[in-house]
Amino acid sequence: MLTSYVTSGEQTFMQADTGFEIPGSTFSGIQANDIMLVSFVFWGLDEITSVPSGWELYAQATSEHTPPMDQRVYWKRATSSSEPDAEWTWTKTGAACCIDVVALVYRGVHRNGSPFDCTYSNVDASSGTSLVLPQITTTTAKCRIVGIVHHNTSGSSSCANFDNERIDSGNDNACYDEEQASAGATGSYTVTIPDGGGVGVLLALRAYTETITTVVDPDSGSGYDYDSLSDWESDLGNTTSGDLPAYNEIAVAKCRCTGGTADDGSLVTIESFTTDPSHYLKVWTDPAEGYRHNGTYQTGNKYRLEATTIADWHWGVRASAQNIVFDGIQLKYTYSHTQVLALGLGSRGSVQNSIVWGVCSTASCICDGILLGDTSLGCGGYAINNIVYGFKDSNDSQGVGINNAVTWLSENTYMLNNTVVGCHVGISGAGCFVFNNLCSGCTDGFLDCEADDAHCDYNASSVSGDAPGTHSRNNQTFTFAGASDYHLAASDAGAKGYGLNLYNHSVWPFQTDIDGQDRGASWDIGADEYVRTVRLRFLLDAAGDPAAAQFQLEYRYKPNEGSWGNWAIVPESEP
Amino acid sequence: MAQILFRLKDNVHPDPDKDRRGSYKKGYPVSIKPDGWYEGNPNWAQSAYADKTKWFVVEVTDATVEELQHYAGSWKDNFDYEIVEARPAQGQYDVRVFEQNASASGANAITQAKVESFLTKWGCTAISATTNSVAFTFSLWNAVRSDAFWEIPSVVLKGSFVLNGYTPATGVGNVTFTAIPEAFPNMDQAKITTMITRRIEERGGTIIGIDYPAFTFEIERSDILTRFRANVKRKGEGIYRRRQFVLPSAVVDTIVATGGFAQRTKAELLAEIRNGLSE
Repeated sequence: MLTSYVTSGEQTFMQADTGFEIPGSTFSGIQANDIMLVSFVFWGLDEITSVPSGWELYAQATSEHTPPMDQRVYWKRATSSSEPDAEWTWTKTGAACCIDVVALVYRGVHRNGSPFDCTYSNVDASSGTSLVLPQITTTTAKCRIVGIVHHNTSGSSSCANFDNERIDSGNDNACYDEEQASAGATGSYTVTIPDGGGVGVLLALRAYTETITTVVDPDSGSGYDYDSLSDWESDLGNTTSGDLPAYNEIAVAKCRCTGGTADDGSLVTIESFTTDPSHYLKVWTDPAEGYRHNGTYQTGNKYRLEATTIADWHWGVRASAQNIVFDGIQLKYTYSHTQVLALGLGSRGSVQNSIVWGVCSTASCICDGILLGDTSLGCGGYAINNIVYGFKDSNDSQGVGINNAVTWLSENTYMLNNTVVGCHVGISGAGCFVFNNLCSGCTDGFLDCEADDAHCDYNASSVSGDAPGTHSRNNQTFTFAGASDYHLAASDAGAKGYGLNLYNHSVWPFQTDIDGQDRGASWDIGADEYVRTVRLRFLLDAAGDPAAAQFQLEYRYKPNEGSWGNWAIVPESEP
Repeated sequence: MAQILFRLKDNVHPDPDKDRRGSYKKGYPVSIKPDGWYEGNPNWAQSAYADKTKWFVVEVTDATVEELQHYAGSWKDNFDYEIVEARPAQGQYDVRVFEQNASASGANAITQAKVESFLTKWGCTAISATTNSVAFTFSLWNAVRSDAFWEIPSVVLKGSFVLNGYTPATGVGNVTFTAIPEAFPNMDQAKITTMITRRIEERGGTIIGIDYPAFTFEIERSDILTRFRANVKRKGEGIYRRRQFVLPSAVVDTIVATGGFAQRTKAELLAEIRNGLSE
């Protein structure tokens, strides 16, 4: 969303010795979250004694006139379109004097906390025909730069530096603004005023990044916007134009499955967006809504993409657009062709907490489960906390669970805490940072991974001499919760407790596992963190008297047969 | 019956290449829907599809979803190869690659610029182009020393190759790669050996002997040719246009003027919709 000017007005109060009121009509057309700015100037040494509710002082400038010119800038965020429901009144000390007031309203301004991007600058001049507003340095793109000046002598002013003049009625006030495309120094602004000096403030309003969330539901349930992820992409996620940085937008596809139907995951191409790291795409299942898997591939009302190849060079989901996040997604890819791909991500794309399942009963089929850096722009990608399995052709000659398309020694691809099972190659990680990954039942668990601990370590493989790294564990036997349930079992001795804590990872810090559970301090290798919880039960007798309650400490393990095990009483011998 | 959801509003990407291959345009089929999809759902009216400035629907009265699915396909490259002349004794082939999905007027014809970088990475020489055709000489010996075959940039900086022998009858070459250990920082002899051995085997080679840092292996020409063909196809082929079929603007305008919904038979639709390959 871009900042935009809405309206402005000015008033002059004479003999305003006890205060002044700004009528609601000054802010006509206002909407919730608009930013109202009020700048006033008074001549004298007065102090403001009361400010209307919700208004905050932001900037101040004082000049050495006799008496002094004192400028104050206040701001307030509108809570509704009906605001204000009454006049706003400022009161001050001191004798009667002239007060000039200007009011401005802007839309599309940052909504969390202060609307201002950086420290303001001010100017004061007791004489002369120009006011030079010193430059400020913005920290984000698309800021609206606003200059508000009050001059001592009535008359018109001008400023060629600004794109827009908002107020210059020939009285004592002038307001200008413009949008600054990129973050950085603004340069100074020279305002030509009638002779006599004045005061002024230069400020920057930060643009609001609007998150446009739409619902993808193959069952077209209540609240749905699209019935497929492919259609969502064809509509550019209902964003303004698909150019997310230009319009300060984030596009989110919230995926649901209200009736049990799988989304068509065949040839889904996500390409025509323009993104940057702050203006990205997100495709996810919200854990709070109940449509996310439980760490195993689930049908029923769990959102999933499913695809079957129809030719060579087929793909499931190919997100060539950069800066896309897949979170909590299931993808089942059945293939009988070669040179195919289940999930490809463009530069800086990430897939996390997801399950990618390959099914192949044909020989010599080349297929990648997850391919990072698919656009080959050298920016890599991220695979975090995923379970990937089944990418192996019938003669076990091809198939890679997680692959990297970026060139050798790329330095920008991160594969962290993934569990890869039953693939021909588990992880192909040339040039990647490969940590805490578990490869079980793969012919070659870790292929082309760098053999230095800075790139590849703390991994575990069922193959001997496989995973590089001083702390990596090879020739291990892993024990999972079930046949297709790759949560670690309580009895696992191959991965449990052998991971590296990545809570303070320099690039991708995280603390939870594929199920969203806290990993604690000692991490397991792979997507799942084996967790044991305890509870204290209050057991009431038939009378239900709390005072007579008995207490019982119980525990349960996760996972067990794909879900939490039963609660059991902690023996008295255990602490 | 089945229905086709069409795009009414142009999507635009500032990059013209991405715009052509990634953006939906007015008249492009988006997806194929089952009968009753259009306004048949009580929640449809509040969905994004209800915005008739973005979409319109054509119901095909005598078609199934499967019969219409091809209308929702992209216009993709489809290269093919022809060996113009083979010189097995030298391990060289004169090859012509051409585009099978060029349109009648030449849109999406193959050009030298489109494939030259891939061919160069494979050590191809004598690259030249004619209409919808690029010819070049493919050398097995150049290919087996190329960055593209090993997928390692500047592979010659990491070691040297010596051809010990080549048997034209079987197509098997015997090659020694001598690594430069300094080019593999932070790796000891065992790790370098493991990595290089794996990479040779993964590409179809068979290790004959290791006298570190020299690795001698045999490789059969079909392994090289297969990898070459796959690599050029994978790296060189792409989507030319987001949709191969498009409904003409005048037809779209007529449908929109009558409420954004129309019925057609398969034959009527076929008569109206344009196939990019025929243009």
